[in-house]
Amino acid sequence: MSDVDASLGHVTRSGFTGEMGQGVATPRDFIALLKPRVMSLVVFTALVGLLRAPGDLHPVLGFTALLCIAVGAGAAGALNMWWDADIDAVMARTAGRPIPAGRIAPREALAFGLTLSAFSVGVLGLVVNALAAGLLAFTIFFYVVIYSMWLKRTTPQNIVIGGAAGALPPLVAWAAAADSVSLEPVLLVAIIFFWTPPHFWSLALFRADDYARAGVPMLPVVAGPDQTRLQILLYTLFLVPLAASPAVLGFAGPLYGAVALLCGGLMVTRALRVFRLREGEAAVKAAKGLFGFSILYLFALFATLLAEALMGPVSTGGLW
Amino acid sequence: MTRRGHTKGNRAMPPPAVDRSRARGLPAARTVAPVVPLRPTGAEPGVVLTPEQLRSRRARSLAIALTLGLLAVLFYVVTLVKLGPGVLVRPL
Repeated sequence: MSDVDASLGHVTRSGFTGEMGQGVATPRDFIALLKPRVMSLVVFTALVGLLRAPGDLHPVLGFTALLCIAVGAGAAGALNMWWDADIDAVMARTAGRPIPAGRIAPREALAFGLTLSAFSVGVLGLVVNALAAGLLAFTIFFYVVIYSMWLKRTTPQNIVIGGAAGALPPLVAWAAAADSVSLEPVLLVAIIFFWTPPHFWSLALFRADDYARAGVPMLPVVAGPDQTRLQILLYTLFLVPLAASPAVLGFAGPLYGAVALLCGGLMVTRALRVFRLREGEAAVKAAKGLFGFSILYLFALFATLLAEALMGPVSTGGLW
Repeated sequence: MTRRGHTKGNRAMPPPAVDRSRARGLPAARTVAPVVPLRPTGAEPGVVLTPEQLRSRRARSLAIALTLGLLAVLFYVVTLVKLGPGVLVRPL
């Protein structure tokens, strides 16, 4: 995929060789390497997993577990930026990141990411338990090696399979609290996993030019926008009942069930809108609307789970 | 080497400070270490940082110091939590 850069002259697949760090990087640039917005979602979903898990983890250890998960996610983000600096440089959305902007040298980002990865996994293993540390290490490996290095540039299913990395934090946090895994955290992982394709493909619909210029085979680039709209709709139709299943299976209460159905209905409505509107500004607006609402949808689901966890035991034996 | 043990080529280095109070049989007084230039006189200036680079380096140093300080506090608290109040009750 080194072809992305011939006209730019400073981007190659073997590594970003443009203007290197000039010693002007501030702490803010290193924080940007951690992808703080992604990290905030990771922390939020992990917090839900932590609080819903059985067991009585001390709050200090719980905080440490969350910190390790957040730092591990940030480290994976830094390693992703190190590897993807070449394509970041040619995409408008990512050209201002610290490495393509020349504020941080690639080797600095690599060292930063590797150090934080080892540190977060090591501390989680020493302070909490080995299962959680192993799952965190797997999550970092999956995001950096499986998604960033392998899938992202080779298949339009990149974000489908790679989405597993972003879905795992609740499971890591659950393992930290309970020192085991069960069906409930796996359901939480499945919800984020199947939420990822509609979320990212709606973004890719109105950023397709960016991805095409960078040579990233996102679904709208490879299969076209119409096929992408169909896939978004199909994934959404699968996601909505899946998201409601914790209430059906007795893992969550009726409040969660109501929120999942209400917001799920709105999600399907927006996916249908994206499917129907295929031309002009209305199509772009529909895609942006779905992208924005998908974030709100996932937030509403996990915020309700969090609220129920804070209110006390919620198991109802299932709605059915 | 000279008879006093000084290297001839090391003239840029100042002589070691002498504690005159000891010579008079008095208790040793605190001496001030001489300022030793990092670079021999007349050497090339080397890398000179711009004001922006100096500001960035200072900000990075402060961030690292703050992070290390917070980590020390965290590890201290985690140790107390994991080992409990019996952390100090140990056989010698």
